[in-house]
Amino acid sequence: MFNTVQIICASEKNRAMLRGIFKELGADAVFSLDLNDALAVFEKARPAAVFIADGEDPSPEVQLRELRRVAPFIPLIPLLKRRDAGRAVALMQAGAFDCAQYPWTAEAIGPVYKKALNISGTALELDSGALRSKARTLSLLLAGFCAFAGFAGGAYYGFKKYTPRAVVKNSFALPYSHATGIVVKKNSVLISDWHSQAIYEHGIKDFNIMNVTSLPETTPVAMTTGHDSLWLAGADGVLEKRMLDAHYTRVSKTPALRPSPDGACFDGLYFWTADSRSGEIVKRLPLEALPAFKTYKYPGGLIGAFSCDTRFLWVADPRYKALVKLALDNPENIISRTELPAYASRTMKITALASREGKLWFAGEDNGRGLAFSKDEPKQ
Amino acid sequence: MDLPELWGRFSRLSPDDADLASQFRLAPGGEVSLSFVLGGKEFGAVRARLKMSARDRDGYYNYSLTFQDRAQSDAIRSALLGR
Repeated sequence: MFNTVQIICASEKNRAMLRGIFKELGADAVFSLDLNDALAVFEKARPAAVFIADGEDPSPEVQLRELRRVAPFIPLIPLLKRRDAGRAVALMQAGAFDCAQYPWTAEAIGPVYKKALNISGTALELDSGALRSKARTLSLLLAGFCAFAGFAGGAYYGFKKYTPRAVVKNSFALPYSHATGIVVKKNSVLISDWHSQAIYEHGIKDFNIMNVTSLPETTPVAMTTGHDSLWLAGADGVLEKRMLDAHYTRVSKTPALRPSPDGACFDGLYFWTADSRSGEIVKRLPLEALPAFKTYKYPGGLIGAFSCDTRFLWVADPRYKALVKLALDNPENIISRTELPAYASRTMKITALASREGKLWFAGEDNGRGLAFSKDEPKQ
Repeated sequence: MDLPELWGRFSRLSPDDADLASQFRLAPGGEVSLSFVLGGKEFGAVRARLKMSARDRDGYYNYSLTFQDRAQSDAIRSALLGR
């Protein structure tokens, strides 16, 4: 039996313990320090099952989602840090095959390990006698199906041919679909997702995931950079200043801002926040509490996504189906509106926007599928 | 039954009884309280009696359960029928 299992565990102490346990179970255990390491191994070989140590970064919920995206049929088993039925069931609903209980021993892990290896495939035999007796019924059903499929295929072909399709050039599919902020660095792109409460770092060329950082205490509704720091707006209206290190360590936070912003950016001198519900754009002083300096009313249709650079404020406006350029010295003055082809899809929602070196970057979702794309800045 | 927290998967579910697969051992004849989600509806404290148990070759336990509360069985029936 193929008995290679992969164990994702950063703690050296836990790895040593698990090494002994899986050796006792007769498993060929391959260890990965984290999710990225595990995904790199997946590109070369697939294990029979993957065990995920709980209590590490990113959370098992995030790891389950990322691993299922790449290998949907491999059993994934979180190794729980405590015996918690509610958490175990929640993880199983998120895609875990089962959860191994704590404490981690060969006796506790053994049944889950064996069950995971044994579901790698089921031998099937045809019951010929039963098939013969149902042959005529099957033939009639098949004929009916072909007739229906022919009709449905023709209808589908006509629909696809004559329905205008949204074309999003230079777009990348995302494994998550609730992007709230996008920050473009030299070689990578950071995207925050409120649903998974995580920041994903993607390679700028191929958008492969380089890193996933879980934010268990923050539901990020906006993200930007400024003063060599990362800024995250939480659902509670608090803006957090964080270091641009491996864990985005929090440095400080503001009191809850009102209205609670869902867009933020830094133009080099001032901080800007935007609230899509009220249409308010607030210019703020770059002090620790980000006090409001002046408030403006967005002159366009609706703020879908908001950003700025040292020259302009930018808004992806779903009502105008356009990219709107506003003046920094007077945001109630629209400089230009440029149609965004991405909005040709009626289900497109652009929820994050960033500007860097003459290019605009967008993230959002179309009919539940996350995507990111870029386009050159409009000339006017 | 005073038990530590346990979990498992239904391998079969009907309004009156169910089969449950779990890595945890339970003594047959006792009563358990189940919580689960079915058809988007949450069920809590569903009383069930363990009728039979068998251990498979992987070490998992497979239990046959009968639900004890008529009202809870009716609610499960409605959820199974998508009502």
